[in-house]
Amino acid sequence: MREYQEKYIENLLQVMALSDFSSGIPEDIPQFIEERRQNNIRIRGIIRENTELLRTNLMPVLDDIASASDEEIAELEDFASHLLRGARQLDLVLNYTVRNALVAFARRHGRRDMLIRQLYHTGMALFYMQQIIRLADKNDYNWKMSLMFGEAASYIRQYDEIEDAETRGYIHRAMANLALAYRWDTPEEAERKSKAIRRSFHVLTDPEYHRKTPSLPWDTFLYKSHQERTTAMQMLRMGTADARIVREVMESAEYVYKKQMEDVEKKGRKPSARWVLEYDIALYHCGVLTLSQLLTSMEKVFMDQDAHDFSMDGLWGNAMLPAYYAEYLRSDESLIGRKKEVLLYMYGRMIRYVHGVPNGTLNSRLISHLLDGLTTFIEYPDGIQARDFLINLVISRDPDIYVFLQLTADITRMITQAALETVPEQLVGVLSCEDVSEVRRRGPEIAQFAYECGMLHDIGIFLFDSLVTTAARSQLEEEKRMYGYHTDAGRRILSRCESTQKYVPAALGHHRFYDGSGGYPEEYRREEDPNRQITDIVGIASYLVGLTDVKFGGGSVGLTPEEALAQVRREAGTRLSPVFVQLLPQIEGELTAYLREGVVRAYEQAFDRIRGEDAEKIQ
Amino acid sequence: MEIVEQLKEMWGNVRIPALCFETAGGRSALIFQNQAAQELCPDGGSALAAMPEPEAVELLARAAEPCDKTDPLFCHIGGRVFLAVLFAWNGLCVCLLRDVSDYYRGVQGRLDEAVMANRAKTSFLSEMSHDIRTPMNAIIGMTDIALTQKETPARIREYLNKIKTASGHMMSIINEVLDMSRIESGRITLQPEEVEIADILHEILIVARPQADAKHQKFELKLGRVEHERVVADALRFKQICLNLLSNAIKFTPDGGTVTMFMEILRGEDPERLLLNLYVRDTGIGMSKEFLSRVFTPFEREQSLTISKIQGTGLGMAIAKNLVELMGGAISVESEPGVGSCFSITVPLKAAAMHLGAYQEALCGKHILLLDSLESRAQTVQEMAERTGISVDWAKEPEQAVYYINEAIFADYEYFAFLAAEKTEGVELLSFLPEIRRRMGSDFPIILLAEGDWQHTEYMFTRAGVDAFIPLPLFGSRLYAGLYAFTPQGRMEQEQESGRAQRSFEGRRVLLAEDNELNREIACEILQMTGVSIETAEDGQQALELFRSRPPFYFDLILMDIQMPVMNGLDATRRLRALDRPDAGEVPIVAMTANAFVEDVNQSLEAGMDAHVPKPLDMDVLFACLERFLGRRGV
Repeated sequence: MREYQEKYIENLLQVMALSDFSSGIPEDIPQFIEERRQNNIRIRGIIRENTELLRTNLMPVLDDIASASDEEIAELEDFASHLLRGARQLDLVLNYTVRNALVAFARRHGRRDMLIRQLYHTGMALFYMQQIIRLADKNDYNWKMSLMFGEAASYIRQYDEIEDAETRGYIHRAMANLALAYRWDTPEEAERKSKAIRRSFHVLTDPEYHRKTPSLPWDTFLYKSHQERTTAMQMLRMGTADARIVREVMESAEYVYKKQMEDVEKKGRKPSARWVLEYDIALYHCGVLTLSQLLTSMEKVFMDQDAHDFSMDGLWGNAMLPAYYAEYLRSDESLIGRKKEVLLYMYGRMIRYVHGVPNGTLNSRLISHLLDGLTTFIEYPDGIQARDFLINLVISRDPDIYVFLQLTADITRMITQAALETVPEQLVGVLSCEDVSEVRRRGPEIAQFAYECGMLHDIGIFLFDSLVTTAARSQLEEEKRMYGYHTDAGRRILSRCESTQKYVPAALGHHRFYDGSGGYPEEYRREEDPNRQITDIVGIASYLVGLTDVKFGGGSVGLTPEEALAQVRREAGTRLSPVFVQLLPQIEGELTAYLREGVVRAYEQAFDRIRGEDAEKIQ
Repeated sequence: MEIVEQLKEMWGNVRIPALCFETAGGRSALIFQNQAAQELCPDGGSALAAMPEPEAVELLARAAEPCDKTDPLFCHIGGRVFLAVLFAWNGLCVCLLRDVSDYYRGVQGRLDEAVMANRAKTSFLSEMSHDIRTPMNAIIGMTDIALTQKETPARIREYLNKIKTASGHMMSIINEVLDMSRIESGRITLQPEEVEIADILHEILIVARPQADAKHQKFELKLGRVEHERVVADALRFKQICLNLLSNAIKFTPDGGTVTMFMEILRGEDPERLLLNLYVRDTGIGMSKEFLSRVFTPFEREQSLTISKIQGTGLGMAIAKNLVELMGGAISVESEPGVGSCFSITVPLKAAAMHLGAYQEALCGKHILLLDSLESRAQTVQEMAERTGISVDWAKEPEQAVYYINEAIFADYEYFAFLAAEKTEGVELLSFLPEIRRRMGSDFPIILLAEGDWQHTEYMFTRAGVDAFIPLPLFGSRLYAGLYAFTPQGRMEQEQESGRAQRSFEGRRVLLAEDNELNREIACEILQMTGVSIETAEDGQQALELFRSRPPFYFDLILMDIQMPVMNGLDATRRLRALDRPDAGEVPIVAMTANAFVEDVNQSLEAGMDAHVPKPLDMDVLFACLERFLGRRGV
């Protein structure tokens, strides 16, 4: 690597360390906030330095990649591999940018082997990017990933002309990874995925290829393909698998299990929790195990998990397993009540585990598991509620986000109360209130609703947290676009539970301009939002806090409360609702005081919640 | 007492002519006429025999069945005019003929005067319009030339553009007046030719879409079943009808409204006979019931405050109706004030043979990949493609398109082209297509099924890897031609074509006969751009002499004005063709006239001319003409 590349990586690791919350709960909150402030100043300096490093050294090379020297290309390859090494993502989007340029170089100069390799790596970068936006139900990168793997795989037709064994290996990997573009949840996609996996198996088990390239790790290829095919277990759970798929999944689960056991015997290694359990699940779907036996097996695997294991397997066992457990519980209503304590314990431990995951460790995989956890979340009337589970997850992952949400929620309530006192007629329609008298009568309920909207409006952000907290440079266009999906992610999360569905419009619409002239997403239609006035108020509060708050790390330093309020007033009528902005002067004193002092209280609440979880297991 | 006796007793001696009819089964028969009626017929027959046959037939028809016709029935008998008054009596129909000769003549006189006055007015307008056209040609032509000058300052260019717009508007008014005059005098004739409906529709949209865009209106084009695309029709007049309907709809629809045009072509029992159904619906101001009955009457305009501010001659709909009827079709209108109007036309058309041979030969067996989120349109593409033996893989979304591309490798077949619909949901084509281009290579055809006018997006899409555009709504002819262009045969033809287009006309000589100095100057300016040498004549006589004075085959083309002093263009052509020299019958003579009517064209052809270019001279038309006559002999 070049000197600037090494420096960039070093800076990046430093930012990760500075923004990391996993080290513990601070005792002295004001001191903690001061440290955070100092860290942010340092991060801001690093971001400036790193951005300049890229602007001066990297971007000119990428802009004219066709003229790059072989030496520069080799260094870029090395740099890219440091940015994304396996699932460890130091800088995913920059990796993608560099890989893209390397593909262009290889095409331009007809470097076939390099092209195959870079197509594969670009496909992998796109896979991880897709994993992130999948949380918002978006598929922007899927087709391109498929195109990259497809092109790399297409060189199977020139297999004999390619002499380099490693390149041949990339062809096989790309061929297997074509299956990653498809999911099991629709019959059409499942068919495509199965077809891709079968084709890959066909090649991987063909002795002719083994003879041609004996040095390739065929067993590993085969093992990974079986692992991928095991994911079709989802179809068995949904009851949509045909006989052929059922048989294939069973075979693969057994194959993987046996390999695990062989490893246990040979290397004395602990078997992977996930694959042991997948085998049990396969046995359950075969009718060999009962549901009760399967659940017991899950409980055992969970209890055996090391709560500080942040490997891929540890992540699955700690963060994903509760989702599986809840899903199988749902298949027998009577078990939901009987297994309540177990599940609540799992949820509690999961939240603590998430708090301990260090920055940059399997981020996309972690958030993918968390989303699955939310999907199957079971809400007990006297247990943890979806809202609290979400907030606890937010705190455990990033207390900064919690502080931002808490401040927004409190200010939303302040503005709503001012509106209830001064312009109650403007709140007619909120919570279906038919007239001013009903608005007055249900004032406390409306204020509480507004507060909850503020608290949950940006819940989607924590799924995209890694794009901001660990960013050690200015944002790239691609990241801005991905980050913009956090409102869709919020919608998706809150739509899952009936108790949180009413907060969806606030999550979706708080970045959309009041007059419709800008902001995002365009799908949010203010006129269709039954509680649009509250979304308007959340928009104001969120914008105001965002201007003042040291928001989510990223080295940003905000305006003073007075400057922020002046800025909010300037945006009345376009970005923000003029009806509610005009109420700000009457609560200006209260607001500015809160903006100055509220941060400390919010951090205290955040860490209290984490401490509270320790004491009470869950809440 | 017998019924006839009763009639005699009642009406026999009355001095008013009276007839009585027996009616049954929708028919009537005369059973009685009184003396006064008999006297109307000098040879003693019935009064019915004395009146003109159509009047007698109408009288019998009205006697047979009570009808709600309110117009009076006049019967002309022996230089006198009678008003027929019918009423029922005892199951019979009695008709009294009342002499209204004096009244009728008085009214007729006034009517004749009114008709004469109307004709005089139309004639005056027509002549005046005709006279205005000549200077207008000069204004439009000189403005065009001025706009081509690179050094024209921006402000002057702006003024010129305004002159161009205003003069174009004025020309359209003049043309309407002239058209109406031709229609009223029965001098308009249709010139059917084989045309592609796609071409006609495309040309209509080129004009109408910008008009709607300028008013921020939503313009919807709905295409129903088009069971045959190549037809025999007068394309010019058909476009005129459609554009009249569309301009009207756009004009009377407020900003932001919607104008919808629907068209379908259905095959009848006889596969040669087609029926075109078309409607233009708007969300405009609509028309009152009272005005609806007069909407197709020339010079009629609704007298409302809203409309009075909108410019127009009140001729558009009258012209449309007359042209539709001339084509054997029918036009109707429904309207509601404040809601909108819908004009519908039905026109019978003759099917023309579709020439798919070359396409089928070149395209049969090819695979194409289509990306389109709209299922109905994708099905249309598939059906059309299958007619020439092309198979289509349809991808509804980009992932599916990539899936097909990847599968093609393993299944060992190749796509011939990739078609993408411009507004495919769920994908940003400007990001997607460059990747497809990179993946499939630079020679792989990527074609965009483009909405509307793609001039604004052409640059972006071309940079994104698009090789060609096929306009939507989709017609088979466009699809085949678009794909054919990328076959080896198509590419070869294109190369030949572009070689021809680039050919200069340097070294070719053109004789230009034009009496009007300004027009001559305009024509010279345009012609000089092509590199031809020009020699000019100011009348037909001079042109003839100039031709005579030069050796045979000296001139490659003669452009001849029709109306010139001393000798007009037609006479000059006849004499030139009659000259005894080898090139007299061969030299192409092209008429230039402001009157682009069929009969003018016919006259010029009869006189020995080869073609016609309308004035004011349009650069593209003139270049096409030069290409046709100077290009065909090679350089």
